[in-house]
Amino acid sequence: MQSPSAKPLPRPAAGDDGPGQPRPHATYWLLAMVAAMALATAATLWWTLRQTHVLAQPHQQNDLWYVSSVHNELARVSLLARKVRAREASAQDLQERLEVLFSTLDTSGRGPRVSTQLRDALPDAAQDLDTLRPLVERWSGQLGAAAGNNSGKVAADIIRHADALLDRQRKVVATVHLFSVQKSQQAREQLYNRFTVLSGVLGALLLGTALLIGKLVRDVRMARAASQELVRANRQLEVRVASRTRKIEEGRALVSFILDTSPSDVVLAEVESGRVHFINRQLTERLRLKAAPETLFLADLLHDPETRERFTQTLDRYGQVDAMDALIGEHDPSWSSLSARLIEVEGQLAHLLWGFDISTHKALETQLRELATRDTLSGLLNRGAFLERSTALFDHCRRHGQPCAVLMIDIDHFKRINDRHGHQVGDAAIRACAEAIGEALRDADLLGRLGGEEFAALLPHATADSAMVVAERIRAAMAQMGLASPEGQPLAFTISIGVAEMAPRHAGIEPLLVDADQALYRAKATGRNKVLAYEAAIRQP
Amino acid sequence: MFRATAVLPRAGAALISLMALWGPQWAHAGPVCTTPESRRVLQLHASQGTTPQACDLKGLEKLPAKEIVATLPAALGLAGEHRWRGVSLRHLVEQLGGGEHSQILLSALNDYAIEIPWSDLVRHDPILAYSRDGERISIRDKGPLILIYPFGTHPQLQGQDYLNRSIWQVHAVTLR
Repeated sequence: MQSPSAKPLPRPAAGDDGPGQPRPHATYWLLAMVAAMALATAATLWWTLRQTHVLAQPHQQNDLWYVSSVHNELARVSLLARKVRAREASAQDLQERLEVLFSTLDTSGRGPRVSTQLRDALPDAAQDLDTLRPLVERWSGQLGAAAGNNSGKVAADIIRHADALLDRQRKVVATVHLFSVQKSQQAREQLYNRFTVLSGVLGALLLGTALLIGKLVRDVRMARAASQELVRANRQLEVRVASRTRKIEEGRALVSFILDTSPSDVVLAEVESGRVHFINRQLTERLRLKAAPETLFLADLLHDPETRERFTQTLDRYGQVDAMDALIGEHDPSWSSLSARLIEVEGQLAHLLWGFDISTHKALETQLRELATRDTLSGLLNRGAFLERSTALFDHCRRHGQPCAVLMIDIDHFKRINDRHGHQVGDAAIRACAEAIGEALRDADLLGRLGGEEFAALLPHATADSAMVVAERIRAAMAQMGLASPEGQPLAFTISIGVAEMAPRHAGIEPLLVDADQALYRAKATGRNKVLAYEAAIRQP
Repeated sequence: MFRATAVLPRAGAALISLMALWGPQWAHAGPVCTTPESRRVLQLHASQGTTPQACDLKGLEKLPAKEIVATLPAALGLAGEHRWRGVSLRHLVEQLGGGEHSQILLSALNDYAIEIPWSDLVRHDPILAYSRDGERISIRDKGPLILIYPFGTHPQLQGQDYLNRSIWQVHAVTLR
């Protein structure tokens, strides 16, 4: 395995592809070459065809025919002239032959004549022909003008000239023959050369085309091989992807299993739509749902509106909530310790909530708190709890300008009861006393056992007078109440009560209690089994 | 009486042709032209064993005439478009008793000779022209008789074969 930093991959330079790669440049070059060859072929073909077209024109090489005709006609004229002289032929016949000869010599452009080529190449021959023309015209004219008598002279003239003329014409024929042969030979060679060039160019075109076809076939093969390679690589990739997908799914199933079997409540739901991505069985069951819900909003889970507000705000502000105790569930709420996170899932904001059931702990906590605040013997608030709550109640009354009063209650001669009849009776007395006081008080009143045989009660919304009435009722009830000793003898006991009303001088509950305690002390000092208000107590000496 | 039918339309001519097939001896009795008064310009040889005939220009002019307006190929050396008037060679041959199986040989004053196939007479109907633009043709101008094909009606006529067959200074027609 090579580390990524070990060596940079060699980047193939343009035009220097690997041997396995098709080279498109070569194909383009070949194409251009074939196109050039095709153009060259077309040009050569045109060039050759032009030559053949020239050769295909009729009457190309009739110079020889022309000069031999002239020679023949001249010979016939010469022969006929001899006949005319011998009176074997008529002058008219001779004139006809002269006319024919003249027409053969015609250079007016209305008949076959020596080509300009010949005229340029063989000026002597052309001159010979040209000198013949005025002669013939003259003879023909003389014959036409002097019908009969003059014909003999004309014939003699013709015979005199004829042999020399014929001799020259024979030479002309030979010269023209040589020239024509040479010309046609040249033309043949030229045509042959052009066809040779054409064949060469055509051969090159064929070669180029063959190369191009070969290249294209090779390219196609390479492309096919490359595509097969690609297909194979693709298949391998698919297999790997499938394997990875399976692993991921297995991992996912495992995580789901773990989360489902976890004792914690787990839910992942989108913030906006409430769409549930995941909810575990624990939470589904806690919410008394038969199946996992499609949508769920976290705020709806919280039973208490105040907690809901706090939870939502914290989550919105900090993106997370940690171990917040809250009641969850709509109908039968249970305590849960909630942690939540604001996360992004599939591009959407989502809430991830973890909850831990703490209802058992909560119940235990409540029980413990009860135990901490209650006096086990009387079931009343103990001293600490009473002071704490009475302080709150005192402050409440002070704040709202309401009156309130305090009763300090103490069982008379409790130590003597204890000593004579034992602790059990003492305890019973305390319980009976607490019960009696409780019955006399309203629900809103606060009652506690401050210690030993001493009780205190805070009566909100009560003046000293109304408190005196309540206190008197309690004292009377206690005096009436009978209690049996363990030996079965009836046992009577009394209580004393000191009353004090909240006054501006009281900074808190403590001074008020002190005042009530002073009134109680006076009541004890002045004979017991009585109720005494603070105001009255301090006026006494 | 069949002489007269020579000027009749094509149906008559066809009838003669048909008759010529099975009765050639009967078909070519008598001269083609009237007896020549001036210089004889055309020799007519019907076949071996028969006496040759001759025509002067007047005799030819009395025969049914046909006109061809054409520009001849440049190689013939007769430039420009001309109106040629003459005797249909086919008519002449038929008058001589020739037909599909005849060999028609035309000879010129300069001893040029060429065979004209019967199919040409049927397809192109060339004329032995004795007049160009209304005037007789001198020997100097390749007269007095020129075989003129209707050039311009068929591209095939521009070929070398028809140049060779365009014979001038015609002085004999021979059937074999």
